[in-house]
Amino acid sequence: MQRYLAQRLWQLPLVLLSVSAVVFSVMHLIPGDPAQLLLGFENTDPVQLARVRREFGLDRPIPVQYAIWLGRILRGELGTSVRTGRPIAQVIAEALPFTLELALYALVLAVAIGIPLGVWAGTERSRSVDMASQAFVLLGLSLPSFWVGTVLILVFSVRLRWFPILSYPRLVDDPLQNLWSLLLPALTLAVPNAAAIARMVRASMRAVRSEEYIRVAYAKGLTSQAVVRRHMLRNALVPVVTLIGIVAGYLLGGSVVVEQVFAIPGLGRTGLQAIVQRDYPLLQAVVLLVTTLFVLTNLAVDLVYVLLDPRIRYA
Amino acid sequence: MRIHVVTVLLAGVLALLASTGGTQGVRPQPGGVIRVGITQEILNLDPHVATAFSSFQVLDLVYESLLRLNPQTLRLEPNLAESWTVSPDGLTYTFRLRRGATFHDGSQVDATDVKYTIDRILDPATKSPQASFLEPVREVTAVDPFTVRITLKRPYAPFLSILTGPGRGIVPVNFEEKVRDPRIQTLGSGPYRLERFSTSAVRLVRHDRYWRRDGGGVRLPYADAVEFRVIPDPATLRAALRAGEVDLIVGFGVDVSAAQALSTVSGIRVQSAPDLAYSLVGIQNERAPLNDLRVRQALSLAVDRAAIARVVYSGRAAVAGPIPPTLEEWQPLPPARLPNYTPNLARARQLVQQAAQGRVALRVMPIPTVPEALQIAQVLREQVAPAGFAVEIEQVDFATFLARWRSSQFDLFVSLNGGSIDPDLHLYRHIHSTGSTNVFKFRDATVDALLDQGRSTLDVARRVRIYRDLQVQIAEKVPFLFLNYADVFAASRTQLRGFVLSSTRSMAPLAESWLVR
Amino acid sequence: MSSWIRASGTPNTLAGGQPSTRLRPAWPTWRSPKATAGAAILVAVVLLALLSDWIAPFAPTQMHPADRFAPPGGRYLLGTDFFGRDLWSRILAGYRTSLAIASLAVGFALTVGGTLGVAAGYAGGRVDTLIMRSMDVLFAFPVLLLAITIVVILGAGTATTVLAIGIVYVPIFARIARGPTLVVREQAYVEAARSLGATTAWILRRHVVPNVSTPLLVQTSVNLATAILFESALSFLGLGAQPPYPSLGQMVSEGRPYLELSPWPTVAPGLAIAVVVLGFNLLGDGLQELLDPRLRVERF
Repeated sequence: MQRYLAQRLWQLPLVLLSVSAVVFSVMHLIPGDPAQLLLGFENTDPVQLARVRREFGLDRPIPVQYAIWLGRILRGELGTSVRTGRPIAQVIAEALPFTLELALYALVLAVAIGIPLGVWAGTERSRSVDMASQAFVLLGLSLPSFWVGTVLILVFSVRLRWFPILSYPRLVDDPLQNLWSLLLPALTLAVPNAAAIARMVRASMRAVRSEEYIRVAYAKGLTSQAVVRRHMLRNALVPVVTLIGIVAGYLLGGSVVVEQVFAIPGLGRTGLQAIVQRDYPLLQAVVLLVTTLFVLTNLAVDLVYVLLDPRIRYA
Repeated sequence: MRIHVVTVLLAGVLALLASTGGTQGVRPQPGGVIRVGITQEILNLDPHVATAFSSFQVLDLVYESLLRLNPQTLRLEPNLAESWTVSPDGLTYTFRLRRGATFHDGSQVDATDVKYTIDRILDPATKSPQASFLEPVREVTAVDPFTVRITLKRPYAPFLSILTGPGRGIVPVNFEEKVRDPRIQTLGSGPYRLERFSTSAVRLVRHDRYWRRDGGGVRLPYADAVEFRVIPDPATLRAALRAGEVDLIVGFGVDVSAAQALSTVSGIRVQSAPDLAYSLVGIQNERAPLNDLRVRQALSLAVDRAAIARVVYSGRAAVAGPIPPTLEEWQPLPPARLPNYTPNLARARQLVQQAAQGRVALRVMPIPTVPEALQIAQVLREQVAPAGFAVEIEQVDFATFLARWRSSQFDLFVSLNGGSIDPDLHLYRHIHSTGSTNVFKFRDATVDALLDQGRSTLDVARRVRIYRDLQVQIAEKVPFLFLNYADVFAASRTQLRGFVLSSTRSMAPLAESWLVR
Repeated sequence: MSSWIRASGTPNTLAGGQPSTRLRPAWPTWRSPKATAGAAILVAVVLLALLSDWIAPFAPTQMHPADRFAPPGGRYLLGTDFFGRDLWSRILAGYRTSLAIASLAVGFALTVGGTLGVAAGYAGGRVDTLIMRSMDVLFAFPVLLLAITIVVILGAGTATTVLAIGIVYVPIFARIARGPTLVVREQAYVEAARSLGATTAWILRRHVVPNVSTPLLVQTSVNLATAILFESALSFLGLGAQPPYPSLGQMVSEGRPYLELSPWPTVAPGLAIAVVVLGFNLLGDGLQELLDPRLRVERF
């Protein structure tokens, strides 16, 4: 296990490096003059264009340009947003907390809904209830998230007026209102993931339930509840932990749509607006950041998984 | 019997008084902060250099011009200039300046400031987009501290109209030394002065020595401060209004459906005014087959402008030609009297058959910053299909749109053009062969001649006749398609009183607005 | 050989089983109610989509300005939208677009990814490393973000959407195909066959293909479901098929500003998406149960 850990950690910088290389090359794959892209289309001042070319070494060979760019990123010089002239680091610092909070919130909700649902489905004996729960789960996986979010807004914000429309105070400013206003978007993100978790928990529990030692436990006279608690859950949950980790990673990337529907000023929405406004420096920074977070989350998940079950071999 | 009548009369009079006391009886309360929500970032506050609409919304309150437009009647009124005379040949304008108007630093507004302002605008080093409007100016002279004489190179009918609006706002002498960076610092004579600037939030505070007073002699403005908050997403902006975080939204952010929805919300007041801006279908007149007049006429005949008004604007738009229907003094011709305005698919099909063997393939580019443009494009596509036009919609981002618009790299586009109270300012630059925004590459000698005449004739009655002929000519020659003049909406919280929405979308009426607290 | 990173999947050897060398059963009898239900839904939807030109009461772009925002019933089965266009006709056309894009994208990923996976598994060594490391880099990106980036470079539109989704799915299929291939390669009978002079092509066809086709088949069904969700998300964001041609996600997006006037233009297309995705999910689950319950399926 030690060896595996070391291997993954050692490979991490390589992964991040290749990711950054891909992100960097995107700028050069987009049609148009990179200097103009960096400056923004409305600024055609040749003096500024020349300055940008110098600063980013745009007339030097590509690998040199990449090194220059990477150097700036590592020094924290993320550049300036073309659209607003604000430092990109600032824009990202304002947006990141919303995305992180939303992902975490959705994760908590998904687990809180998915696991009990899966346990219940996994222990129910009745066939029709089982089929109903399966249908429910599949439905949760089939509904598009942007639609779920829109319908939730329609019912709870517009018609019932339980939730404020589109205003999100920061967590540090007004924690209660913040959590309340983010409930609907977090729920929207949570639904498909809760369904996935529930499904896996159910399958796991069913698999475990038929194992020998469970029957032995029943024979020994343990009540149903005790059996569930002591034996089934612990073993059934192992693969689920991985799924949770996968979900966590997915939430980071998948929040773009939900942020758009609910107009949450997070990273996903910032990135989308950067595309629409052709703010390529900002877009680069956002993609790099989100992908890095994604990679780190996956790494953490893999490590936790190995810690939990060292029996697992990798092909 | 008589006592009964008297009692009834008294009761009636009392009731009448009581009912009017509800709104008109309320006296303006001083104080408070008026918060205005806008969708566009504020990038530049230099009045002579700024071009963005958001900049002008702020500039409306910080700088003033010699004249101003009455928000309701759209007539010219005195502002920093108390009165003026025009020489019979139309080449010399003499303005008497108001005494007692001061800049935010306390200094008096006088004739040297006016001269400096116009010189600054015309100075090539300033690179002012306003320079073309003031191009006919030959010389500005400060005759005495409160009299300015402006001589023109040639008679120029729209000149007085140009002297309204924040783009020609008066700045003090040596403005550029007194204000180190005019993009983010200001020094004007308007009712409010800049206190704090950022691209997403601007705070203005009251100018305590502002010259204007209300009917009761109270010095304006009433409110202590005005804050502009930028919320780019219109739905979020409206939500902020409903939540009470913003007091007023004008124009962008309140479209027809939003206005309809908001008008049912208690605590919110919705106003509308006919817009001077118009939606249009731009045409590249040099590209085949659009260079054939018959094809352009066929397009105009195939489009049902009334249907567009119904579908895209829910009926809150007027079908009109080159002159805004709200400018009645210019006698805009009704659509029925404009050639090629009444939809006639059969005739359109005939023309397309003659000119292009029955089929014309075109691409249309809707401007991405105006949501209605895409909707108009879609309706258009369906309407003109039966006449033989196969229209493909091409959506591009704003930077690309701008680039293609400037270089005339398009077949058709759909956009919104700003309007003006003077027909020359409204039309010349788009349609004259030398016009600065004639991206349509339209050239017609008769139209040019009429435009030149309209610009140089000072006699109003004669101008009306010239522009009437011009309307017919434009509808006949089809440089591009004028579609609709929609209503512009403003939504405000009922606590905000005294704001009058003008067809120009001006923020200036905020000087006479107050908050009920 | 461990992989650098694993973005979305548990290892294929949870149960540690051996692959089967027998050919998978001749077309499975539909003993699974799930698979039957799923297939039924899909057949219905596909038929509707293919025949949309004939069964739709109106053309999808035809406007009826007098009947804007009509509720369901009467002339318009599901009501009309902002322009007075019939929602049912638009949904039928939208089904065609979504199904076409999804199947083309998944087909692309299956072909390219499957080939890459088999090549990597069978060739081994440097080729394997090169291919799988490239796949890993692609895997490092969050799925939606990667697709959006590709669309940004290539420009929005139907063709680029197919390409973007296809490229994003390639690593999944590569990985699915590689596993069984690897195991097969180590088997004794393969050694034997090779020593007897069998060509690579023959070995691939006789032994590798039967073993990869089952997991690939199940994965295809699952991925078709997610591809439709994916495509509708992209068109919801304005990056897919362009107006006025209807696309289900874009219809949901168009209806949003007018929710208070009429919810139908938004609700109906969303339900339509859910129906077809449900069909694919049912089919995929059913297939998995039928063919190999031990299979671990990549869900994202």
